[in-house]
Amino acid sequence: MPIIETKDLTHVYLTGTPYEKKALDKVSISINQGEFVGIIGGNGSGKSTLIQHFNGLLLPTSGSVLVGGEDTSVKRYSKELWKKVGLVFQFPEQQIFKSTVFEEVAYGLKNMGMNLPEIKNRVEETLAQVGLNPREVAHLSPLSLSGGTRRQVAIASIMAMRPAVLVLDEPTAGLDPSGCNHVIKAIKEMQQEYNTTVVMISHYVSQLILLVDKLVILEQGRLMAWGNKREVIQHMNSHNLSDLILPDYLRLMHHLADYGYQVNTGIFSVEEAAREIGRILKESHL
Amino acid sequence: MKGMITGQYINGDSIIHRLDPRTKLLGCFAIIIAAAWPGQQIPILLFNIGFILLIIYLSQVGVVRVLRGLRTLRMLFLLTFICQVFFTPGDSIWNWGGIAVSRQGIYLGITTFLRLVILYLGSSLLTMTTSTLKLTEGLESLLSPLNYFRFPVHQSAMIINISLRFVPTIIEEAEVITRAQKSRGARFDSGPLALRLKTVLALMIPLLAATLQRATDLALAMESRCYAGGQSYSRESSMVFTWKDGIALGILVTIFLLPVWYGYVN
Repeated sequence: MPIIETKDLTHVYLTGTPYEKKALDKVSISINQGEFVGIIGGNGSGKSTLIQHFNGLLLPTSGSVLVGGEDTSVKRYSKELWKKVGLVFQFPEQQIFKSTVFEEVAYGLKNMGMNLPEIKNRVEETLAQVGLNPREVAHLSPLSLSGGTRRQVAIASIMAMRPAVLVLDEPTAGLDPSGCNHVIKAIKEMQQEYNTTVVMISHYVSQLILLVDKLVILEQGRLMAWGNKREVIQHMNSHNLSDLILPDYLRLMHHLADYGYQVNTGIFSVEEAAREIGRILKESHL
Repeated sequence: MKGMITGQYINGDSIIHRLDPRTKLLGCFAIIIAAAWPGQQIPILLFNIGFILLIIYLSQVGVVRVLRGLRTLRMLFLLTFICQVFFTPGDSIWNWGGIAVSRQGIYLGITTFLRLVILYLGSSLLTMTTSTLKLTEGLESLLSPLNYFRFPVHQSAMIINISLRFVPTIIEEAEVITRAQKSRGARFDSGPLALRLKTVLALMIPLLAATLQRATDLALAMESRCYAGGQSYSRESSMVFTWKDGIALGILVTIFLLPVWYGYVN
């Protein structure tokens, strides 16, 4: 049974006003336990709207969303959904409000009703997980930290709750490469260690492709492609999708295929692309 | 955003939209005087409401939508009505264990309700048909005589402009933070009051921090584009007071202030 399943999910903002806008149009996907799913799409394609349906913050205008087999529109169920589905918003460091890093990470755990010794263990464990030294940072004020470290703290505050599903909205946007690596590593580790389902929005497609199992591609609220990443990338052709979202080496592969070369378009990394090009050069005796 | 804010500007090109903002400001002022003037009779207040609804109809912003906005104020209406009914001394028509309802009380309750409706409709009409930029432009122009008394008119208008401009932005931000804290189990709408008040901190602290940061950024951005405020500041388009504005203002003043003047004389 899939852990998240949407059926014809449609969401309309500001219904019945002059500013009415259809953000999602009949999106049907299903995500299994333990999978790593990447969501890509341009600005205003409905990515953020989609993920807020996963923990019941938004409810479908029509269609349905099932999490763990239950409908999120049932109020009794959606109220408790935050424990199951951890949602990291864009720029989560802007939601920090406690006076120490420890309290900030402990906030969700306290709301879950966990007792203090347990909270203490969990906070330390999670801080270490995201690449911070608990003994150094736990007692500091979040305001004294750099932007990147604050982001790590904010992500830790969701991860600490050990949700079955971890949903992240551009967790690495605006981070320097080292901060970026810490965050990605922590997410990957959590997925492997606890069999957590991860759903992640990112504009860094070349990085995302290497991480995920499945891909969702949205364009103006419509589902353009969905499935295993190899199939999605292989069948993406440069005509029906805006080239912008693909990294340049993948675009090159698709263009070569368009020119009639027998090139494998289902690749993910620069290295693979380089090997493909080498092979074509050899075969065509150039 | 969940819904539209009551009185939010709606883009349009109706007769009312095209009026000079000064006309609309002065007209709104006339409406406020009419609503606040003591001793206005119920028929006149009802007539005022009807007339404002007619203007709203002409402005094409949707009469139903504006009326629906009244619902958000229902608690205020109810509370003022109850206060007026029970706390106005007069000829008692109903006495029940020391709690008396007077004829005057009921009359005052109804007129107060109608006055509030007029205030709401009049101000909604102004803000729904006038963009914040035009609004402050008009305000600045109307207040410009105060410059002789060294009152910082331009700066005040700019302050009003900026605050109005950022209301939707801050509301949107508050919604995002609320959702983010809900995702960590914050309960804004249930639980004991003390806990809920504590939860509000989880919204207020990040919101205040973000707003201060935004203010600093905005000031810096304005300064780096050489904004200094004051006299040497021109606008892209200047306002023109046409004969249409004259007629509109004439009608508004006649409709709303004639009864006031009549009541004053008699």
